[in-house]
Amino acid sequence: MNRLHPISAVGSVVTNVVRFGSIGFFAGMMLTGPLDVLPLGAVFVLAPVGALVGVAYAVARYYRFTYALAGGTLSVDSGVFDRQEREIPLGRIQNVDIERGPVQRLFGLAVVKFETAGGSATEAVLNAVDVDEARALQSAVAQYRREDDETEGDKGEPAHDTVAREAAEPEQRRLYELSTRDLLTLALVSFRPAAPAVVLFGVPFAQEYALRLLSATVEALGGPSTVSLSGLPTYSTGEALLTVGVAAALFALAAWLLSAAFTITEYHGFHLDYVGDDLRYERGLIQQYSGSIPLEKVQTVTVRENLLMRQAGYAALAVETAGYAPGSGSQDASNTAIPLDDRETVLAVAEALTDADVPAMERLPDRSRRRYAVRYSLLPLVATGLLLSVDTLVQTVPYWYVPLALVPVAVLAGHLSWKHRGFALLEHLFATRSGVLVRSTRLVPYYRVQTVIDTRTIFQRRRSLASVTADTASTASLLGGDATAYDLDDQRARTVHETLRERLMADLRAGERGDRRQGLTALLDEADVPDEEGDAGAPEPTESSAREP
Amino acid sequence: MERLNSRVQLLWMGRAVVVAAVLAGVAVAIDRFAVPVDPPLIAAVVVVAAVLGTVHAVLRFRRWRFEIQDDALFLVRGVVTQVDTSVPYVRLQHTDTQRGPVERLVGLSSVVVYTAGTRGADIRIPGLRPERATELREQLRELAAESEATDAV
Repeated sequence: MNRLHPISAVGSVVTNVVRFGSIGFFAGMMLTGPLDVLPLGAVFVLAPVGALVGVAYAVARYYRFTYALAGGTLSVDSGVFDRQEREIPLGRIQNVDIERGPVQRLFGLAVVKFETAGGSATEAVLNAVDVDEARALQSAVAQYRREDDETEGDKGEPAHDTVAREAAEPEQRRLYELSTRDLLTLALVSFRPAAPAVVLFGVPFAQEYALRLLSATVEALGGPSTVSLSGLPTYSTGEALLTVGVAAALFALAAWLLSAAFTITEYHGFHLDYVGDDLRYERGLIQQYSGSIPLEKVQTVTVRENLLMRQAGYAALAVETAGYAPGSGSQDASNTAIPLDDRETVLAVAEALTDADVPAMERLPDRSRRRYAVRYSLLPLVATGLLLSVDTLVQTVPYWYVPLALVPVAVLAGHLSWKHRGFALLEHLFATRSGVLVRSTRLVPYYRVQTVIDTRTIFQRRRSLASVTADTASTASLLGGDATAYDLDDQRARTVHETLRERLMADLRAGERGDRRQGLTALLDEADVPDEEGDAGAPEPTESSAREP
Repeated sequence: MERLNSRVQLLWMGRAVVVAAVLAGVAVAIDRFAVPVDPPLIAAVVVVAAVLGTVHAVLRFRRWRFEIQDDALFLVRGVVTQVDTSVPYVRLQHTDTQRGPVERLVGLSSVVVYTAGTRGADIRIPGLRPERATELREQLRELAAESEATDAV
């Protein structure tokens, strides 16, 4: 039985004193003031009483919280009023994440989070333990898994009895490191939706500065010298357009800079190691994160390129497990294996991780392109129709035909959509690709497929098209990250559906899970000056496309 | 390919009528408290909704079928968007039979099949006779147990 680090108890005592103390204080204020049930002096009693209750609760919680890692399970007992005893089999743990905020770093502490596939929240959180203990726990889970693997080989019961914590740490090899130059590039080419929102909420707080900056810029460009909302009606059309344009440009610039700052704090010092059978990453400038991704738990591998990255020949790599609960914080970042690198390197790692070559994609039939062009054109057409009906029925709308100018843009968008969509059936892998602004190439090993779903909407049926989705347990698919091959020929879709089913069963029966270990080792050996012995345990070759040095 | 019990159409038609009635209620409320609406218009909307719902129920029943295949449960359904789903037995996590109050009224039952997937995580086969539902659940359980799953996730 272990307890959390005593300093964490001090921390929660301090927060609880503030929280419960202020509850006592405000309750006292309410009861003495508006309600007038108690004499004024009660405030000075209730506030300290609240604080004391807070201290007692924090201390009780600290003493009630114990965890142990033994016998192949992680057991966590917690709770003061509602007591909870939780046992998590180590083999079921998907990810072990370590988080360290500035305060925790000051005291050498770390928060450890264990994720399993079930459940809707993080299954066990140790807040907080000594940082060495955190690392030891992370290694112990990986160690257990390796021993489990080995014993499974000689048909015995998995080693449930011991987890040798002091066992030798396996060799750690650096798979990837984000250089400063790449970090800056990443900051410039990536876009975070949170940034414009923060700017939008932030502007009212810095109203004066924002207005002064706007005025100065507008004036320098030959507009009115002071910009204010009340002065707006006095502007000429040109001045108003200039002001709006400058405001929009400044907004975009602020959002972009903020987005870059977010990216830098999040990915500063990112590196990915290959330890035993785990991938282990570390990242973060202020809040530091470290996570382990067991190779055998990997569900899908995704290569992601946004428009700018594609132009510059960059790509990013994400590795998804079934661990993270939907919408749990920085899930996107937790899945990231490579935030940014040139396309070849990213593809090489993706190939090593899936033990397959990233294939040339099978294009969609030409009629899908017509479908997209028509679909996207509907928007400007409908807009024109609405404006026209307003024009004839309600009041005259000047230039009601303007949205029609967007039809060629819509057709182009349809073409791009079509061009970037595709799929491929490989020996052990299903690959799909889609997206124009952010193009994702998803690689799904057949043995990870859960269900196969064909859909045919009424419009698809008209052109005899269908979409095929290979559903997996990967949580990324909740964020629209399904591995779907869109709008293929109807007959082809049926073949793909059948193939996915057959290959799933065949690969499961054959125990075909790809030799990622060999792939990664080969990749690392290729990169290094060839050293004598790369990895413990001679990897046997497989027929599938192994990457030989 | 096995079809659903035809009584399930009654269930779905009933649902469509309820929706139409709710629509009528909303229309009446708008008429009473906001903008006056022509009574014939209300009637037309309700009738159209009920008719569409009924036609949808019939088409849905005609389309819906499922089959216990060699290694997967195969389902065909959907009127506007047609969906074909394969659920391999190796991926079954657990199987339920469910009977809601309205289903009990028409003497029907449903089987719900759960996988660890994120999109098709639970799949419902409605409109089964209670005996058939129980039988199907047992059958699926055996098939799931037979297929050697090493790791369902």
